Amino acid sequence: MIRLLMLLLSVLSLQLMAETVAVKVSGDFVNLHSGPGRGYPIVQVAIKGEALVLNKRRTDWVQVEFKQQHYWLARADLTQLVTLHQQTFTVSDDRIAQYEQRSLEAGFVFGDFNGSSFYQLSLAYSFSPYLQTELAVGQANGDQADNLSAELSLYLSPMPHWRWSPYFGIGGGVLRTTPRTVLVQTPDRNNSLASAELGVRYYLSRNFIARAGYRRSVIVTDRNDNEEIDTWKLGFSVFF
Amino acid sequence: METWFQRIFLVLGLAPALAPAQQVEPDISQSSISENVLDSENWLLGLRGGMINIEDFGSSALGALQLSYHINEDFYLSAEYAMAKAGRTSFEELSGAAPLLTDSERQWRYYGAHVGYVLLPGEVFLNRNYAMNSGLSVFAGGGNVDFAGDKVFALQLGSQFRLYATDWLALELTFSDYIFETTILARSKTTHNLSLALGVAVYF
Repeated sequence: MIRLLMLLLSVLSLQLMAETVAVKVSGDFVNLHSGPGRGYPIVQVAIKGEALVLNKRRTDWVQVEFKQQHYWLARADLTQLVTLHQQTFTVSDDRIAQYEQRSLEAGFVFGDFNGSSFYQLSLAYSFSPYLQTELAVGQANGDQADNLSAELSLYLSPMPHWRWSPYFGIGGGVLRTTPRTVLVQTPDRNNSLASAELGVRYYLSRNFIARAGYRRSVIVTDRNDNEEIDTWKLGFSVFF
Repeated sequence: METWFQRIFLVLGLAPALAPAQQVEPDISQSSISENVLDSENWLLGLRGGMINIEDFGSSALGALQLSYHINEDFYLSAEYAMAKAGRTSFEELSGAAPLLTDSERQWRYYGAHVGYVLLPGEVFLNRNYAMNSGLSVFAGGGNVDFAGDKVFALQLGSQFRLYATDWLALELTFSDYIFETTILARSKTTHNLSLALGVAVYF
């Protein structure tokens, strides 16, 4: 059992064999924390000329090896270091450029789907700062029925450089409706869905985007009238 | 008039002197390196087991899988899948009547997402010379509960205590409340389903 655990641990530790960078302190000193967060205490200080090895990053912290021990260095302090090839680090918190150049985006929204609670997971890919495609799977649980929707949409952002960036989109997909009945067993219904959405994105910070939108969908039914549904949504997404 | 000529000559005389001054470029080329050469470990996959108290249906074993992404040192986003199997109600035990739910309807499933905030980062001292990093976080989110042949929206609130065994391996103690409406016992009511689970999580 212990051998199995050791094997598992060694497999997991393979990921630690990533690229490391040997550096020297070029500023006066850098503070080394015990953990990746400002709440963890400073337990070591590396002074000018001392050698460090950079291992990996986690959020805004870099793990370093210093005198055979592991510590965490604030990402902003990378400017105080120089590699053995005399290269300096460029640290920029201005990720709005990255935000504009983002390609993949994963999001989660909560909302209201014709009066019932709604939530949705989405994955989006940007062809350019102006054009984005998104695959979204949503679920709404109402008093009368449960709805599961899957939609592929195309979004247009006319002003991608603005922090508050409006967008417009059209999409289509399927909606599976399961009526919530007690006595009568009714079958599930599958309908086609076509929608138009208007909304706004807001670049929060780092790789975090807030998003709010209104979507109007037409459900193509077998009956004479097509059904129309309003969806209001508010959520977050993370870009890579 | 004379001062006008002076001004014009002054401007004309200074213009060539100003223009090349802006074209001077530093000839020391500073080579730089991106921080992206370093591997980033912002994802966390956790597996935990424990118990859940499904309201009216006793306590049962719970298993859950959690995938988190750390946005920054304070906030993280998680997706979670949890499963349990409900027991029997006191009514079923005492009355000897037919069971309220079939075996498959007793399967309890939750899937959803939440946002967490690391409220209290710190250290835990195991002895005089040895400390481990820890973090207590609180989270809130929502998802879906699939139980008793019904799918309902559930709110999830809770807190998680994380103890870092190494830089990439953490032990987690998670307390979570799954709040949802149920109509199984005649009238609709809001139930609180508390769970406590212990698990391991790996950063990658």
